[in-house]
Amino acid sequence: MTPLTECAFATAFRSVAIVAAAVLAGGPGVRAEREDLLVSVAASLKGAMDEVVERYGALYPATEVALNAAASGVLLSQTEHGAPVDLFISASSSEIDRLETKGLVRARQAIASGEIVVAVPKGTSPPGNFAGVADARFGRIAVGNPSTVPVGRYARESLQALGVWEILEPRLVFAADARQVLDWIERGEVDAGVLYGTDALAGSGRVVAGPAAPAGSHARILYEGAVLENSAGARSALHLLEFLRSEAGQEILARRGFLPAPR
Amino acid sequence: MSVRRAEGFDVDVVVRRRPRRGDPFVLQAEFGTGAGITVVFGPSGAGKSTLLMAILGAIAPHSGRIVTGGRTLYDSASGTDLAVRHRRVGIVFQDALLFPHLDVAGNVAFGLGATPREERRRGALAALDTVGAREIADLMPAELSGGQRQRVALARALAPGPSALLLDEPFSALDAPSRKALGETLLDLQRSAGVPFLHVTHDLGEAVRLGSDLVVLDAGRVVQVGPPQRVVAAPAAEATARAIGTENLFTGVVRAHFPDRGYSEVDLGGTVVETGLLDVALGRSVALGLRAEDILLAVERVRGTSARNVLAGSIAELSSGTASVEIRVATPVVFRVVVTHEAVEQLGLARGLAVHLLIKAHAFHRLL
Amino acid sequence: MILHALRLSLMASALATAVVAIAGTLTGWLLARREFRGREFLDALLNLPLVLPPTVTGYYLLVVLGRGGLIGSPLYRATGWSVTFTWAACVVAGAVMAFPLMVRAARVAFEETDARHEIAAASLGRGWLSTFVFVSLPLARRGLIAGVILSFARSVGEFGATLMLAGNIPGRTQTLPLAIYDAVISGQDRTAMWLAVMLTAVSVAVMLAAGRLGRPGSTSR
Repeated sequence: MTPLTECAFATAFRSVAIVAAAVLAGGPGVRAEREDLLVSVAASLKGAMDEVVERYGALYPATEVALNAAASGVLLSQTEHGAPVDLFISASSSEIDRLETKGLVRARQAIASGEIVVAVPKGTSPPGNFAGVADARFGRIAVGNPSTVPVGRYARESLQALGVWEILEPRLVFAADARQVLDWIERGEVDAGVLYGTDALAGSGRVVAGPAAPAGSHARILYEGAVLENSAGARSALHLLEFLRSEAGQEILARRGFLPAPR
Repeated sequence: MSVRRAEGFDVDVVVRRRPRRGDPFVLQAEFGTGAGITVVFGPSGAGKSTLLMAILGAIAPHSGRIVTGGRTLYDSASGTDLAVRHRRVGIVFQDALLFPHLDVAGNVAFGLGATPREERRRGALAALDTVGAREIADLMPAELSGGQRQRVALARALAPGPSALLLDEPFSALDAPSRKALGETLLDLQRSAGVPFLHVTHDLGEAVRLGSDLVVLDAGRVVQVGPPQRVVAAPAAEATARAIGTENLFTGVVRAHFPDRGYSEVDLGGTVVETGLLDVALGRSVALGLRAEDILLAVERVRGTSARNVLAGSIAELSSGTASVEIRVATPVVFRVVVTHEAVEQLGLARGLAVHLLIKAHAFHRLL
Repeated sequence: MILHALRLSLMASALATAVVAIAGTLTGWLLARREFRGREFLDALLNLPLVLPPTVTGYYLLVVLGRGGLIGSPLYRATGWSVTFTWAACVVAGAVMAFPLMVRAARVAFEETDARHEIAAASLGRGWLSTFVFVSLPLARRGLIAGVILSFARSVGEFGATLMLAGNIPGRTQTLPLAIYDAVISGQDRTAMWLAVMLTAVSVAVMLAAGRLGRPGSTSR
C-alpha cells in the first residue's frame, strides 16, 4: 500500500465508523408525536429556566423542552453554525442583535430586565453606593471579561460612566462569566465583585449583595428570548416565549431576583 | 571477472542510498557465482548490508538485475520487481532477531503458512532437528544463548523451503567455540538444503572456510570474485590485501591425527603439512592461518632442525617493500614469505631459484 | 439525569477510544515506518487538537460539521441529519481530542521496535496485514496500551470541544463533565461536587483495570 492509500484508509475508516455508530444507534433523530423544543439558555438564566420549564411542562405536557446551557458566546457560535435551536434566551441584547443581522431571528421579546450590583464576601461590608467600589479597601475586584461576556460589558460601561474605571483598572480581575465572579467572591479570592443582582442572590449565603449600579449608567440589561427562523417548532417556541412573559413566568423570574420585562 | 552460472547468485545492480545524515552512497555490484555458499567479504561501509537488502527486496535498486537459482527477482529492463514476500529468499540477521513474543517453535513455524496447527508444529520440529535444536522448541527467545538463537534463526528461515538464503554476519556476535560449531552446521545445512547461500562477513577466516565463491566488496564496488583460496593467494585489490595482511590462508583436509605425538597431518591441496593437534574429524576441512614472518627460507636442504615441516619449492615472485621483501614460493601450494633485503642479497634470491621452507607445526593456527 | 450522564460519558468515551485506537495505531505506524514528503508536517497538523484550546477545536469542528459546514452541509442535505447536538457529537469531540495522543503513543511504540522484524516476516512469506497483526502489534503492545488508556482518559474528561459541538442538553448530550458545569452554573454546588467525585472514581477505576493489561508479562521484550 502506498502511504497515501494507507492514510486515506485510516481517515475513511474513522469517518465511516463514527457515522455508522451514530446512525445505527438510532440517535435522537427519532421524531415522537410530541413537539420537541431545543432551547439554548445563557448560564445566568439556567436556574430560572429549569423552574420555568418544569412549570410549563406540567401545564402543557404535549411539548418536550430540552435546555442547552452554556456561556452566551458558545451559544451564539453554535446557533450561527446551524445548531438546531428553536428558542435562544440570552442575557443581553447584543447576541440577539447579531443573530438578527444574519437573518436568523423570526421573533424576539424581552422576558426580564436586570441590574448589576456590587457584592462582597460574607463578613465584610459592601460600599455605601455603587461607585464606592473604587475605595482603596477593595484591593482586588472581580468583573466579567468586558470583551466576551455581557456582565463584564455592563460593569465597564457603568464604572466608566461613574468615572472610576481608570482608577480601578489595575485592581481588576477578569472572570469568564458571572458564575466565576460569584465563585471568587464566595471564596474570598477577591474583595468585591460586580455581577448580576440575580447571581448575588443565588450565592449560598456567603455573599453579601450591595448597592446596584445607578439607572442610566449602563445600557438596559435586557434578557431577551428569540424564536429562530429555521426552527421546526416555531409555534411552540413562540408559545413558550409568551409563557415567560405571562404572569406565571414573570413570577418565577421575580422570585429569583429578575426585574420585570418592560412592556 | 564474473562467470555467469545459473545455479547461484547472478547480480548486476546499482543501488542508491540517501541516509538522513552523511553522504549518499552508491552500490554498483556485478557478480555471478555458483551453487554452494557465496561469501561476500568487505570492510564496514563497503555496502554488504545494502547488497543483502537489495536482494531481499527491502530496498529498491536504481536499475539492474537480480537472479538467484535461476529465478529473476528483479529486472529493471522488464519491470520485474517481486515484493519481499514473493521472493522466497530467507534471511538470518547478525543478532538472530527472533520474534520475542513467540516461543522457538512458534518462531520457526511462522513462515509455514495457513496449514493446521498440528502440521505446522511438526514442520517446525523437523526444521529444528536439522539445526540440532529440537530440545529447545518450547523455550522463549530470551532464554536462549547466542548460538542457540542463531540455530533457531536458521531453522526459521529454512523451514518454508526458500530458493536462497542470505546471512548478514550471522556469527560475528558469537564466541569462538560457537562460531566453529555453527560453521560446521552451516556447511551441512547448505548441502542438504541444496539452495545457494549468500554469507556476508568481515572475517577472512570464515570467508575462506565456508565459501565456495568469494566476492570482495569495497566502497560499493565488487573488486574481486573467485574461489577463496585463489583470491586470498593473489589479492587483486588493496582492500583484500589490507585485510589479509601478511597472513597465509589455507583450507586443507585433515588426513591423520597423532594424538600421542601431539600433531595432525593436513593436505593443503598438493602439499601435506604437519600442524599442532587439531580437534577436527578425519576427512573434514579446516581453515588454517600462517604468518609470512613465521616461515624460514633456506637455499640448501637443511637437516636436524626442530621444524616439523621442511618443504621444497621454487620462488615464483619477489616484491620489494621499504622494510622487507615478500617472496612467493610454490610448493606447489603457494606460500608467502617475508625476509629482509640483506637476506635476498646474501642468499642471491631470485625467481626460479629452488628453495626450502622451514615451518614449525605450531605456526599454523586454526581459523575456523 | 446523573445516571444518564454517567452512561453517556462511558459509552461515548468507549466508542471514541475504540475508533481512535484503530485509526491512531494505523496512523502512528504510517508515521513511524514510511518516509514521505510532508511527513513531519502531517504529524504537526495532527497534533493541533493537543495544542489549541479545546473550545477552539470545538469551534473548528462546529464550522466543518455543522449544517452549513464543509462536511455537515452535504450530509444534512442528503440525509436531513446533522451531527451537532447529538450524542454522536460527544463521540466525535472525544475522538478528535484523543487522536493526537494515540498517534504519538503509537508512533513512538513502533519506532522503538526493530523494523527488521517486519522485513523478516515478509521474507517468510507473510502479507502486510498478517505481519501487522502478528508481529508489529504484539511488539508494540505496551506503548499502544498506554496510548489507549491515555485516549480514554482524555475522552472521558473532554469538555470544551464537547460543549461546542454537542451542546449541554441534559438527558441527551450532557456528559459527566458537562453535568458538573451545568450544576455549577445552576448554583448546585453540592451536586457539582458529587458529580466530580463520581467522575474521578470512574476514571481511576478504568485506569486501574486497564493498567493491568499493560503490565509486563512473560512475553514482553
